[in-house]
Amino acid sequence: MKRIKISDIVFAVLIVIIGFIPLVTRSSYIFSLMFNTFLWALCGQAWNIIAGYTGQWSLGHALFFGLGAYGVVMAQYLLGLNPLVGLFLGMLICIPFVFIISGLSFRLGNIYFIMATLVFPLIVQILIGHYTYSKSEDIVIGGWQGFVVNRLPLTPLQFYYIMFLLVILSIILVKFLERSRQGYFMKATRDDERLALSLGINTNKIKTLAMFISAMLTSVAGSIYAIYTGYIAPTSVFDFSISMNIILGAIVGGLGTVYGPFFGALVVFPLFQLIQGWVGGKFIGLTYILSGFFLMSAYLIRLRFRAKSPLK
Amino acid sequence: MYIPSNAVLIQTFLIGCLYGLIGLGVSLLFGVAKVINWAYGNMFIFLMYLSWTFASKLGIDPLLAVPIGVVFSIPIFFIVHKTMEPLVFKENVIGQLVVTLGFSLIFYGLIYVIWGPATKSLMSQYSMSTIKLGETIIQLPYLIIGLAGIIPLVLVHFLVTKTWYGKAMQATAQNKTLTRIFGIRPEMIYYLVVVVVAVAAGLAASLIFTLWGVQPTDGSFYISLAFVVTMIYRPGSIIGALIGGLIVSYAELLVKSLLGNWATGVATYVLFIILLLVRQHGIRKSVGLKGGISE
Repeated sequence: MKRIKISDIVFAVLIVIIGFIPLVTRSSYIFSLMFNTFLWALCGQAWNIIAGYTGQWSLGHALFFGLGAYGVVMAQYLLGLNPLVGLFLGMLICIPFVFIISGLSFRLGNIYFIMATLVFPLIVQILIGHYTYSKSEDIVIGGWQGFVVNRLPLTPLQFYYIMFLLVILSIILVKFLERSRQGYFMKATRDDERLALSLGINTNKIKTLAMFISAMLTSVAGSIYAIYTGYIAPTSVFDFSISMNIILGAIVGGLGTVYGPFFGALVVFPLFQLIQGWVGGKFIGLTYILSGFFLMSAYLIRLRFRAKSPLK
Repeated sequence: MYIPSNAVLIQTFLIGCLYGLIGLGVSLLFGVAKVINWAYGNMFIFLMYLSWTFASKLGIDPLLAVPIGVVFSIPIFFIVHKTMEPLVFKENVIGQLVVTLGFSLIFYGLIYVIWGPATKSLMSQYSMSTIKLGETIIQLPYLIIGLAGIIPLVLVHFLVTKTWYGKAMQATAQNKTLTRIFGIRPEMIYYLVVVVVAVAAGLAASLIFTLWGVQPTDGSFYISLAFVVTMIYRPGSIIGALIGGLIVSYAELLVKSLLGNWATGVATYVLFIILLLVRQHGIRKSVGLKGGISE
């Protein structure tokens, strides 16, 4: 028998409200604000699978985000194809990196794994920044200057619904994963890897699987981001702040929960955009300061709350 | 292929000394206080920006701005580590990670808000002057940063190995409860380490302006540099920090001469990953903190 929790009801109500927002307002500001929120909610959910459920804190998820974005560029510039093909190309490029990074997690203790993942996007960033693409003799593009991506003929409304649908799909995926055999294996790996091993769980396989699902979702988000903004550069998609945006929603909302990343993103990112709009574009750094503050206080408040509660 | 001259080899050695001083902070914090400060890179460049402001706005020589930089670095480090104190003594590694990442973002944001995204650099009167050592001619700024890097390293080494406070630090690193019985408060030792780290970081950050400038994204380079220096021999070892700094600086030179200037940054990062894979705890195994968070 299935129990229905309060969070399920809240989620259903929120879904209905968000789904009907376009009936009330057609402002493209609201659409872009919500698009950003959904983008980071999707990435947060992806990160939740690897960090929240499997316990592998990869701080370099900007790597998969950036590779997804550069998949679109490769499809457009090298193969001359539709950006949508780039979405799959991006996922394809991510696969070797999935194996490399989850391979690191087999060998390294948790802290050292976190350190190693932190530098991966930086290496790829420098390599891509060095690579320039020349269509003819005198026109050289790419490198640190970045690429212009052909925008699909989609309206902000369509982007809004595409992203919204993807977020819901990712939540349903995690909901199923949580109750599945593999999901239980993931949680066992997170809580006590030695015990999981002794029970015959191939934890390496489980880590790779979790990293794979997580990387694919992040890569899709990166591709859609590239198509949406129409311009990407190594500094914009492999940046430290991208990794931080990915983890922010999940940590604020609650790691290892189905709806946590979604709720967290829904609280944090619209607030950022509103504050950004209020102070004006001059203070780019204000968003970073706020996200640092949120990250820290969300963790400390939760820690204090848990320490006082009898159910520890 | 580009073959470096004697002068370049000596200058690389001198840069290595400064790298050792940069990494000393993370190494001491990790080795002695068992805390990883993930915000170190961004705090370091924040200090660099601060000393840039002092030197350029007051119109003084970068070297004269060094004491001001050091004075400002102590409260900055103190605030960050005061916030982390409960997490340090509960050995909550994930908590330290999240809180310092938060600080890291705050400093990153502050840099953008206050100084903007442009590169800042300084020229001093002696930037171009050279000095003759036998046959080779080296640039004066390199000599200054080399000496200024190695002298604090030697001093900290004596502080840790010879004085009472240093022995108290080592004892705290090995067993907190036992040192408490002997009347040493681990909190005080923690603050002492933080002050030493702050002085070292402030010194290195102000000195670096005689060589090159700074931009907001440099933080990730300095944090991975500090991690390499920490991991290469043994966390908390000052000699290890010096060796680590030298290895990084010669690895950079090697990569630069093989691949060209663009790949310099890659050297540190790749070296770091190789180092982690070969040996998690540095070449000499350290006492204390194990690899796993759950352990």
